[in-house]
Amino acid sequence: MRFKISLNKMHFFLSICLFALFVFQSSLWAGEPSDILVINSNANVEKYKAVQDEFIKGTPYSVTTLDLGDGPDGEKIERLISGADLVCCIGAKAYRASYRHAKNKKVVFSSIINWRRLPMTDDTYGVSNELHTRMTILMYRSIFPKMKKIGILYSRAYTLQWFNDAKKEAEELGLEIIGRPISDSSHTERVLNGLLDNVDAYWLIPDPTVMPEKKALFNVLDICDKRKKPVLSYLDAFSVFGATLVVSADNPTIGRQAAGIAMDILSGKEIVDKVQFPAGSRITLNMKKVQDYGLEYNKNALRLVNRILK
Amino acid sequence: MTKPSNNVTVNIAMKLYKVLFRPKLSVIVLMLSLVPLFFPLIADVPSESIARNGKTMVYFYSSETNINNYTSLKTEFDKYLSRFGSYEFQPFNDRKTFEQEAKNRNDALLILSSWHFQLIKAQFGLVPLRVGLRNGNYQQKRILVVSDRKYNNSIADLTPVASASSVPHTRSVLEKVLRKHQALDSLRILPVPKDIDALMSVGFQMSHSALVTDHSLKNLADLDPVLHEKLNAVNEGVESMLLMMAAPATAADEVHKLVTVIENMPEDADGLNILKMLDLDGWKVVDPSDLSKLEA
Repeated sequence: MRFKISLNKMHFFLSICLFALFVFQSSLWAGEPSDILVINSNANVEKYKAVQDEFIKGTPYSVTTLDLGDGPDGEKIERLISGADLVCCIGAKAYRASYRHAKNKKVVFSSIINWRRLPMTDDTYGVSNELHTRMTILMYRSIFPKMKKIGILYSRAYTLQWFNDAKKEAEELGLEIIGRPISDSSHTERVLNGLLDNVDAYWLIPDPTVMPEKKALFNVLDICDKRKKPVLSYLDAFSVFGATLVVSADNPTIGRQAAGIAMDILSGKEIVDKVQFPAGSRITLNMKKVQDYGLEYNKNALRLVNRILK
Repeated sequence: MTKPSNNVTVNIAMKLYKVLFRPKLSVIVLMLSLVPLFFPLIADVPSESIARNGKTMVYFYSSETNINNYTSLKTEFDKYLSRFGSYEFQPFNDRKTFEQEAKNRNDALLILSSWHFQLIKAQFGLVPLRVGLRNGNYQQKRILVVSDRKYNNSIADLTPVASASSVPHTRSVLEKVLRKHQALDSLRILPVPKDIDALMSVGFQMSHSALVTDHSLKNLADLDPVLHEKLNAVNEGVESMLLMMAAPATAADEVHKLVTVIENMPEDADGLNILKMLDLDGWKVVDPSDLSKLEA
């Protein structure tokens, strides 16, 4: 009887242990070493999630994920990084967190707007969030082949080099880019109005002097709308506010590229370009604006468009 | 002194077990009575036949593009087709789900690639009804392109291959184009949304090669002659047909009416624009000679 009861007790105890193991399995596994640690700035953000999903699909290595949206502490980040052979950071928050702890670790970043502003090491690789300028111009030209002159407001402090490169690329593609430098956002309205007299469209770029806040964005969109000049831009969300054509990077493709870089690093291949441009594009065409402004567009290019707003 | 407390623990555990895992007969009867309510969800009955409310469906999946334009495609097709009858367009981004939904459906028209059609036609009892046209052509070739850096005809020099087709389709074409079946396993494919992305990715060194259609390569020559100059076509595949309309041999009359509606889309300005989202501008009847080419 005593033995029987002991056996029952043991069963009960084992059941409790199994139950506890089931409940706490994720936190137990989180401390195990893994090949790749994916740190996501916030897995609830759709674009970050798309990158993470494709990254995991694209790699044969074991992957542990860490969502900074859950607010883990520095100690946990440090512990997980120490057990990984490579760290993949999705978004700037994830990159900053890993930079503090991932000394001498290979890091692959993605989904960081203007990655050049962040500190990098010799072990940093990644996929930029901005498409190659020529790729963007080519898409504009595919959709609006009759557009010949495009206007840009830029600042000498942030985007002068980019502007000069874009101007050169556009010339090779038969487009003229006309730019006006801005030193203070209070000048935007006056300079933009002058620029719009000479161009077929306005290309809105992510320059903090031109567009320091949301209000400035809406102001630019409003001025262009009143002048019936299409706004070409880089962020999908701007199409809802009135941009006519948006060409942005395709997030799932960024995830696949990051996985490819990670595989090359872990298999010891030489990496020629440490930071790649995104290989996939996503296009949104605001057809309502196309019709309102009476724009001619290339119907054959509709096959390139992901989303048509009507 | 320890025995009673042990017995109490065991008794509590046994009672818990009985409550949790040995439900009364009445509960079992009640649960069994609920089964018919969930029958359509668990039985092998096409759920669409219940959910679609008698509509004739167009099921679309293309193994030859990765572009995610499904929301706009569905909105535009549904709006257009509603002018002609009780029709609905359902695009799929996943081949497996498409096949699960499309199998044994006499009330659905399928739009799919000719490569995919060949793979499932026997299993699904499909007949080809129309083939898509682009600038009067119903066929295209796939071309393997590299940048102008040195290429030693080795598989390693091609990795990764950017492609706007699904990975299985890309591998299938590469097997024919390269005739190096064994080494192909080591070739990494980089799926991109569109052919133009694949071409640009070679031009800007995000990939070492790209598998694209002859049509896209020609478009690039018009759009960006400088970039086109930098690319070299190293191998080309055989001709294949563009997207096809197909249905089971026993398809309902309404499916054939729907074929006519879609066939006539190029005659309507809105309809033509929608077809252009599929990179088509017309349809033609599939000739027996076309079929033999497809077999080849």
